[in-house]
Amino acid sequence: MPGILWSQTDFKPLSSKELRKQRPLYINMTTGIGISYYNDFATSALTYMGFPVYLSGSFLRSDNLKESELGFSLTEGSNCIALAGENVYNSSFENIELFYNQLYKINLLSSEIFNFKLGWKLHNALILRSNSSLMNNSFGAEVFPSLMGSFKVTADLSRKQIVEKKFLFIRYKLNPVKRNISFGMNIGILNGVYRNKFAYLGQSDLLNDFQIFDNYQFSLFSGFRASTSLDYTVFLNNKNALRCSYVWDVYKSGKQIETFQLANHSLRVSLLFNLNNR
Amino acid sequence: MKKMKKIFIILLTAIAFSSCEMFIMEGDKSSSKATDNFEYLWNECNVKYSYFELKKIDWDSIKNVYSPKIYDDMPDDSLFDVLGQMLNELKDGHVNLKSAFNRSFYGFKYKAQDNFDWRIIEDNYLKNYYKRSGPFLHDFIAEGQIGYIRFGEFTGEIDSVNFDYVLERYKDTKGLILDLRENGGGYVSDIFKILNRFVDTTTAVYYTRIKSGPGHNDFSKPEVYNLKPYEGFKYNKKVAVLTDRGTFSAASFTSLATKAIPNMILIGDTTGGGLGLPNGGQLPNGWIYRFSITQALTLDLDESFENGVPPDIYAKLNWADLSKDEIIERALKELLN
Repeated sequence: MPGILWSQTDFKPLSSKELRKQRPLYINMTTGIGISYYNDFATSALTYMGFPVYLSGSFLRSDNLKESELGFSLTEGSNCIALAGENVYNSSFENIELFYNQLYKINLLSSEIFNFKLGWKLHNALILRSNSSLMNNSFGAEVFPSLMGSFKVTADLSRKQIVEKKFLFIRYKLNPVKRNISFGMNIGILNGVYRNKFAYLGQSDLLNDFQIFDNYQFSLFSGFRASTSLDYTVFLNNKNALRCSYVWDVYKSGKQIETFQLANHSLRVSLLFNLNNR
Repeated sequence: MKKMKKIFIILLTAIAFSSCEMFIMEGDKSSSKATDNFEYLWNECNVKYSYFELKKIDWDSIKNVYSPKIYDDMPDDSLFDVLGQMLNELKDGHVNLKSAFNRSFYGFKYKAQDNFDWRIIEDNYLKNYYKRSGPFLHDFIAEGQIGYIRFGEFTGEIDSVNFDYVLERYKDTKGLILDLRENGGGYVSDIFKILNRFVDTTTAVYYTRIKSGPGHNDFSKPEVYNLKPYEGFKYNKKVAVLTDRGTFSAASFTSLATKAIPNMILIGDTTGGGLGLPNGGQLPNGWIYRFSITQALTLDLDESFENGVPPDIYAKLNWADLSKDEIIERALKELLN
């Protein structure tokens, strides 16, 4: 009698831990080059422009249901210039970032081809500026901690079957390949800025008590922060992947004191090393 | 087709977002127009310069005097002269304008006679052979009774090796002369490395405060600097610190601090001031400027020593007699009696 009421198959839904283990895990190593513009209106009226180099490393877990990434990056803009009349002025900046984000599938919007995800991102950037001509204000540092809302749409462009093609009189086959294009966007919801107070400079040197963040103040709900990323990813037979990206991001401090702003456009190449053969 | 249309929308959205920065970011403020640069410099000084009240400077009136001299087609050389003259109304050696072709300055040391000539000291006190230890030039004078130390610039090179050598050499003298005449300042860190050799207990020596808002009297709460004694070799006997109008900035801070140190005495002329820490900034045309944004105060919270730290004993050189340095002579009289 029990055999009529109960299935012979022992089926249990996967736990979140098991789902997580099944999700592909990658080490994502990225390099790139771009163009950046920045101003620090507390010290200079000029806009500096440069071609920084970008490096980053992260752990990325991603499948159709969920994506999470923990990483850091370094943007090095060592030869930035500003033009004023016939004169050229030099400056440099570094941007050191730590980030963690999570995205979840939106079932209502997603389909077989298009996958929509919504989530959040914790992001902290330390931006260092150097301009020796500004004398005692030659060094600047800003910290931008942000909680951002994240959105991502991925279009599956995979070729699932062998396709036979002909070019002039040459016949060739295209093998199945897994690939996609995605657009991600992060907008700051809770933006903080740790920046110099009114006079910009501090007086800790006169007190024989040097502090790197001398005469600074923290402002919450201050400024603006956003980024977008357009990615084209191709997965290899060995489960690794290659990715090309165009990334834009912008930082702007609030108006409590004079504004600092930085915008970056970069082209990046990533190698995604699969760690769990999923 | 529908799929390609959606992919195209994704690409377009990506491009559209990245061009949003023209709406998000404030526009470029660079300008070669003379009026823009004049207004920018006047405004920056107006909200951040720290000594308007003490020096009784009516900055609005000064704008009325200098703005009629500005016109947009004026040559850079002329614009520089006008802006430089306007900045000189602040009467502050820490106020400068710098371009690729010129640098403005305020001649603080020309407010009184020259009171220093190194050749007089070499010929009549040190002779030709004296010691050089880091930034210090020194030797015995007055038949070995006094140690003379010339410190001409705050180079940031004072360390335990060179200053230990100097002070230990003169440890058995009756006193020291530390000559800060025509020392235009430099690295602030040297102030503490000198002074902490002459105190045995933690000693409050001055206050400092910084501009905290756009009003001429908007300052932070004064913060005191407490000088901690050096943990190694110290000199406890009398020290005569020689000053003149060329004693400026970090040298002036050192002079101010000696007022709180019992065995140190200032001899010579009033210093050139420079007790405000200068900032640095860039005009819309790229020229660099700096001006004072802090005030140093005595232990009575008096900011007037920006006009010069007065000596405890006034003395001046007699240029008609180059066989002696009257200020050194006065110091010797004080130290040997």
